[in-house]
Amino acid sequence: MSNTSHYRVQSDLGRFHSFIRGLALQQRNHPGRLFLSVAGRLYYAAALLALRVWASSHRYVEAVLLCGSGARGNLRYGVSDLDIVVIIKDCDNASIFVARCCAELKLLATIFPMISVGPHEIVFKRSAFEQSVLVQRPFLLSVSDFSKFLYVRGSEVAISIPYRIEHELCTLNFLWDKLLIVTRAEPGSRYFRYLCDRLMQQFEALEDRLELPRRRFPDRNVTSTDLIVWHQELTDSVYQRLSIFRPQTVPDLSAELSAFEIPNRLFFESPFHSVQHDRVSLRLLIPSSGMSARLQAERLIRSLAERCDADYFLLDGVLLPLRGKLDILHQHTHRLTFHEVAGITEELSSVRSGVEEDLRACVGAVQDAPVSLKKVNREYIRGIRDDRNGVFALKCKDPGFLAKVFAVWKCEENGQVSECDIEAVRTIEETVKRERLYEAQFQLRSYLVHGEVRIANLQTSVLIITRNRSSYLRKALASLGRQTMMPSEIIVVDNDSTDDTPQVVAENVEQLPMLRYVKETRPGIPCARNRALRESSSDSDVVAFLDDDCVAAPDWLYLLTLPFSYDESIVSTGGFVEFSSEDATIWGEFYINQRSGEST
Amino acid sequence: MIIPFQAEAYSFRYLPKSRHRALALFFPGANVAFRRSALKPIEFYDEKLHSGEDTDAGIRMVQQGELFSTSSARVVHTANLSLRKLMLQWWRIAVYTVRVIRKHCDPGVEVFVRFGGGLGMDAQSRNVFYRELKLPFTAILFLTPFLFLNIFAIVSLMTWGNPVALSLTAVAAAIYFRSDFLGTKIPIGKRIVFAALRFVINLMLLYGSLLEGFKHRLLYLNYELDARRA
Repeated sequence: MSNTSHYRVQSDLGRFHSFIRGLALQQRNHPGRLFLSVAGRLYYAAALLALRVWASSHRYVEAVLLCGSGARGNLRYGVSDLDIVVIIKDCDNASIFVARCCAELKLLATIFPMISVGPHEIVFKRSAFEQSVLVQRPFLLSVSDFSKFLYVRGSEVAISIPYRIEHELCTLNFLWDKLLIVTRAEPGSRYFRYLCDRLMQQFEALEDRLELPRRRFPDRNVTSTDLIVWHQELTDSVYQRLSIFRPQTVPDLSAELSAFEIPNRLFFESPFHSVQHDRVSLRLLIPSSGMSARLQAERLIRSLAERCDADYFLLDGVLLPLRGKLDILHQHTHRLTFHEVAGITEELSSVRSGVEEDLRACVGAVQDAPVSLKKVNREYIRGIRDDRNGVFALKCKDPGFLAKVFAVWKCEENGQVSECDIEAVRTIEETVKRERLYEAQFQLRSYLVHGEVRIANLQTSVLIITRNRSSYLRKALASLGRQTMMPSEIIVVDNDSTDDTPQVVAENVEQLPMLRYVKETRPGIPCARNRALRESSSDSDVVAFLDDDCVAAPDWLYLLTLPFSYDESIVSTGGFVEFSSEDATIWGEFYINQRSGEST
Repeated sequence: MIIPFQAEAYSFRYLPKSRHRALALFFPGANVAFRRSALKPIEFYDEKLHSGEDTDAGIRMVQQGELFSTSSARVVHTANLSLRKLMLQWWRIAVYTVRVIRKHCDPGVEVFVRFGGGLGMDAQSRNVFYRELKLPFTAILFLTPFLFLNIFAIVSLMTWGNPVALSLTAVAAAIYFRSDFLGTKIPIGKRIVFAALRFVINLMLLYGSLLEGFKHRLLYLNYELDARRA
């Protein structure tokens, strides 16, 4: 791979995948590691955030996991190797969001020369980036509600659009080194007052928390200067109180920022706080609003805490101590690192020799498959993992992908790759490629339940019982002739017809050589059915009944008998009976209207 | 014990699409497949049952293994039938349901409530009472709007002129017929025909199986056919 590639993010989802892949491939030559796992509408957010994170201090990015609402399930999978977790709540409107991101990147581009922004595309020039000077220190990254909080960049600048500033503030408030308010709102206007009030509330809450004396303002008439000074003092007290490192002085960007005109936009800007450590250790986490998100975040941090050596974590603006330093991050060496995975992804198309490599390729594809991930949510993945009956598998829209996920889990648990996992994944993928989703779902189920794809080759008999319905029987037999999967025998049991049923059967023998005609003189459906069962060859493993007045869909037999091949516990299957409105009498329409009823 | 679905199997005779891939309890004979090794004996169907043989088969099949509904395996059934045939079918259902249930259920008392059908909703019976009792008969009761309509109608006939009974009957009738006339797009003439058909069928189901039940020492108040919409 050349190091001078350009990566483009266009308003085209299809390209995003290759973009991230390229990013990852590029990344493996550098100390930073990048892990992206993105859901649905957050493609752009992901790409932009990745750019941002990487551009700001890529040497310290161990991993980034992006989670939208659909991708939370990946946490379980991705969290083990992560240093940074960003939870992004779903954004309101993707297109508005993208527009915002573009505007924001334009801003970025004016600050950093290595990013250039075109009218509809963003080009990241790596070569220019490498020449630039990086701020080499770890950073805290905090995103509360991504649609409202547009821009977070490590180490230097934090800008947010304060639609719901309380969220940003409660997350960020005392970490700001400096508060700079850039706002379009007129000082003294109603909105400005609102902003100031919100800020004041946050500051006052912070004062209470730090047990500082309350600052009083006459008539609560606060100017932005007051707020800035107030914030400065508060920040000092925070650092004093918590005895953590002061960040280094950061360059003052306010002059540069004020040089841009950003239409229709309000900005809060503040230098970001950073914790000085001699080694990279993260950590941050940012809950979105809402209790469940908060609890989830807390759980996540706890699990992260076991892996990274952070002293504190930040939750909703509260700095909480972690239980000591647990330096077990690198003990899990059996896990495939991203470097390996990325390398294998690159070779995926060319090298497919060893078993080991093949599964690694699977791993790569799993980690590199944002398109599929959007279909997988947390409960779903958990459900599949715990589901011993494979019921979930039958609802799965992407069996090939889930087979890979499952293979990777198995591989992680056993610490080795087994041949049958590879075989199973390959089989399922091939079935998906042939656009046989239903069959692939059964194969996946078989794989989940038995640990391999078991396929039984079954002989099928189709049994039809009829009585005085030769015209309908003709249609039924014709529909059997159109089946995608032909049965090994077809038996027509004539329950004492008086019309030309034998002739109709005889006409069709040419087209259906496996067709047989049997006459049963005892009247009654059960008698005829039993006769049909007796007549059917004992070699056939599955018997399917079709009514004489039914027309089977071309894939009827295939779909009906498919479950038998993959699951031994299934003893009977039944399909959907639809009523045709073609030649319906009004009494027949009653059934169509009812969609439930008897009709034998 | 009384397996709840036995009494209800007919109402799910043709699984609606909303029950797609549910673990089913019973399949119509028009579109069903069996694993041959599970057919014991090979004369699998009960030849005494001229209708409901597939319900019976389903109930016995459940004891062998899993029944799997693959509703994407589709057959198109003709709807070309006469009024006589329609009525005959439902009369048979009314009678043979009782026999199928008699064949499989244990003595006891079981009460279901079945409301909320119609208007696009699947009515599902809720079992509100079940007890195995050593009674000389088995009682399976479905409490449905149609049943209450009948009870109130009978009461108001017996006490003719009683305004309470009459108004109760009117309310029950309104509840029963509501799903026939509300929430559909079919023309009003057909609506009336269908409502009448449904009413007659429900009469047959209720009284047919009640009468048949007495022969088999079974007190069976049948479920009602809902005006279910696709």
